[in-house]
Amino acid sequence: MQMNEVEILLIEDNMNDAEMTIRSLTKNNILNPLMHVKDGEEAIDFLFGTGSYSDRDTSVQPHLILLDLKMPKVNGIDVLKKLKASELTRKIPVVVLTSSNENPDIKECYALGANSYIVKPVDFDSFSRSISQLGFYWILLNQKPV
Amino acid sequence: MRKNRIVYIIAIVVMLGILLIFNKEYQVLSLYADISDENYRVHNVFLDLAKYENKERFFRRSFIREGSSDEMNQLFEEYKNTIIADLDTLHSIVKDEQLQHTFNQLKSRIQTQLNESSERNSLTNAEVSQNDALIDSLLHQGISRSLLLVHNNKQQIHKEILWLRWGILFFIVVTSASIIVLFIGLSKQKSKRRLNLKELKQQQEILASIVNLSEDAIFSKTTDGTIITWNKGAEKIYGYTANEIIGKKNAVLIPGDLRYEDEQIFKRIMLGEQVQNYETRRVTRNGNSISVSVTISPVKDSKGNIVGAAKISRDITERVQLQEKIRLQNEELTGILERITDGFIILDNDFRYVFVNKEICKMVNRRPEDLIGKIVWEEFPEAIGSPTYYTIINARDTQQFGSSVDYYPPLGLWQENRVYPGGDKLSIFIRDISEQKRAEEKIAKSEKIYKTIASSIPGSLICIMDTDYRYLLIEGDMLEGFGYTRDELVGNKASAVIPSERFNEVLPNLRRVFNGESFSFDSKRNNRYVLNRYVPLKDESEQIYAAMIVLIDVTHLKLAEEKIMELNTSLETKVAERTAQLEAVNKELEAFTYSVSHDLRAPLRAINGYAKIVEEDYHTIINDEGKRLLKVIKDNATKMGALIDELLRFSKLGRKALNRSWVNMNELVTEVIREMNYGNPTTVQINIGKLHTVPVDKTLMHHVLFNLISNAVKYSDKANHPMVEINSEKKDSSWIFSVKDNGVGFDMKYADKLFGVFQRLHSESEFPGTGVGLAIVQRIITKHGGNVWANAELNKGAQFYFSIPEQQEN
Repeated sequence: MQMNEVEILLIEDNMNDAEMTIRSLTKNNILNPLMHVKDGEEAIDFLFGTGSYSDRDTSVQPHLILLDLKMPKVNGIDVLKKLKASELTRKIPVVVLTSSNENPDIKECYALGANSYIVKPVDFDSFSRSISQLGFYWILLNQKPV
Repeated sequence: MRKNRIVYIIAIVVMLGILLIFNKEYQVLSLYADISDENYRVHNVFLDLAKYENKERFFRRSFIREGSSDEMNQLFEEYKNTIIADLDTLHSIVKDEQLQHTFNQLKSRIQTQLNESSERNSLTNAEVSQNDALIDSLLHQGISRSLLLVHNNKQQIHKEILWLRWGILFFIVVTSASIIVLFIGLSKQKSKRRLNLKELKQQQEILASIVNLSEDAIFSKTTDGTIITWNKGAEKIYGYTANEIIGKKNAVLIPGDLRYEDEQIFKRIMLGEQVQNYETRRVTRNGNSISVSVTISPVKDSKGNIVGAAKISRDITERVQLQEKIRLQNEELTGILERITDGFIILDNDFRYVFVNKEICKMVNRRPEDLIGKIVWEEFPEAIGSPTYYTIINARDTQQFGSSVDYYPPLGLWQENRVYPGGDKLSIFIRDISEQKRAEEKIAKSEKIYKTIASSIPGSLICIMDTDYRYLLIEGDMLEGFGYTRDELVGNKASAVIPSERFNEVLPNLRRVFNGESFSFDSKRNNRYVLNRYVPLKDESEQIYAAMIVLIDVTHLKLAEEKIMELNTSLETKVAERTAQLEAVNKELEAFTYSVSHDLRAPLRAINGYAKIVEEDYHTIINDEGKRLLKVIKDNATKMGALIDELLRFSKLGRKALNRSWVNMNELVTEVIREMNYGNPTTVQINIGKLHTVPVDKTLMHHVLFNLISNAVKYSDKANHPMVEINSEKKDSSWIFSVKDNGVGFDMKYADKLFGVFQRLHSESEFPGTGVGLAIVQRIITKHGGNVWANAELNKGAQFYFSIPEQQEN
């Protein structure tokens, strides 16, 4: 997979969650090129062409970012802040993934410009359903702002 | 001068008289001259007649004797005509009677003769001779008579001339005398005038020097106000030299505000009035204002026209200032005497009133004019023989200060007198102490009680003051602490015995208490805490006659109080510390809760998700038992997820602050039931009574109702006629809500476990649930200040109650 073809960027430290998310998308025929990065730091390197992604063409950016909040090192909120602060990435839709809708971070994410959030339920079926709906919505229906 | 004039007039009259006499004399003389002339002419005509008579006679005789010739006839005729003419003349000019008589006789004789002569010789010689003799005699008579007349005239003229001569002489004498007198008078006047001018000049010089030496400003001005003379005094007073000011307008001396007044005065002067000692202000050369007394007189010319004004002004600035000073001093003095709150009078040594101030007038209810000049003992005879009477008399006689306290029955007046002798006057201060005396009387009655009270409270002070802030009574051992003895204070005014700064401190309190206010406060002096209590004392008519001030040493109480305060403060600090700790713990707990919910859920998701994946991907090779086992794994994972969610909510609700509002519980219940039925309608009959509207947090109350109603539905679902009833009632100061069902109920011995977290009285398989719902209910109701309880009987249903107390107004 070419890095510049990435349409969905999944930022998730939990490999199980990542696998299940990817599986849900694939199962629901969302086959757009997806890139999974393991934590916030890597996500930032990818988006801004720094670190191990220094050779990446940052003028081409993903169409959707799925962002887990609870991550080691650089957490989701920090990644969101950086994204929204840069002209390069400001317009990319961001869907926040969270374990609980009781999380006070959700409010902050909205305030920072997140477009939506998904609670990762314990029940895999509902999780899968949410992911697929979300994928459809953002990738298929939502035109990338030019 | 007048005398002279009379003399002149007399002289002129005399002259005129003389001239009149002369004129008359002249007339008389010319009359006499005329008469004389006539008489003389008569005499001459008579003589002429006699001459021609003789000639005629001669011719006549000759005729007779010789005949006549022509020439002779002619002559004769001539004579005859002359005689006739003379007779005619005489006829016209003779005036004298005697002469006329003579003439008439003569005329007839002559005419007779002439007629005879003409006829010639008709007459005898004898007759002719006789006739002629008669004519001659008549002629003679006429001649002598006329001569006598002439002679008489001459004598009369002489006589008149003599008169005239004397008159002229007199005239000359009088005229000469007049001229001499006039001359003497004129020369006398001239020398006198010469003498006057000299004197005048001297006088003027004297006057000028007087004017110049005068301390007063003397100057004059013309009608248009131009200054024309200016003396040294004026230079001194106004500062202008004569050279500077002469020719200038008087207005430079007048202050701007007095110009109009000056104009008015000048108008009066122009009408001839004099203004004397008029006091006004003037401006000097250097601009100072001075007070002057001005006298202004009009100046007139010889014809009496007013041509200017002379001004004499005297600098009275010092006098005016002095007067003003004296006036102010007098006023001040009177003011002081009037302001004295005591009565004040001045008597002379005969005890007559010289001065009385308002206060004393008020006290004795008289007007000053009723008293001044009167003798005290006549006005107030009842005072004779009183202590005051002797004090005043003694003070006058010994010239020593004296004082007395006295009761004057006619006025019901208690008075305190202080008499200060001063030579011929006595100054007396009189204070009305009736109030004080009355208060003292009242106090005296209760003095023992106060003393007892004061002595029974150690470290206290009771003090009673009258309306003049005079100590009437003071008791208690605290007095020593203040450094005073009883005797130093009682009977004296507070302002007089305690330091002024201390008095000013308590003055506001005294004013308050005498305004009728009772109050108390704490104060601290010399490390002692004192409770100050001020109470007004009122008589039967509610009039405040005194104030009671009670001071109690409350140091020990205060110290205890301070200790309590200290403890409270430290307690508060401790509470704050604990609260902060608790808050920190709470926060930690919160973080922990989230982390737990997040971290616990991830593996659950994995368990659930991967079980699902296995199910999906390997369903062909897993038998039914395997599938069942996978489902158990999945269900448990899901259940644990639900437990974690409930736990999270429970902890969250516990932290949430209440947001109260008046909530219509009927509406809220209906809303809850609608939500509950959403997607899964219940068959249970739910009866809702009329519910109270209560002040609660709507969101939280929603949780409460949701939990209770869903529980009721859940546990009654299996009954024959499942029924839920919701009601409310107001009891005491609380609203009590109940949710009743006819379901399975529970055994009351487990009632204490009902509201514990994760506590369940039924198996999961019988009635699914997490065991958190009622714990949440209890937590919310407790937060509202209410209680939750339940009644139940196994298989007979359960009743859950919660109370919401009325809000305490803070």
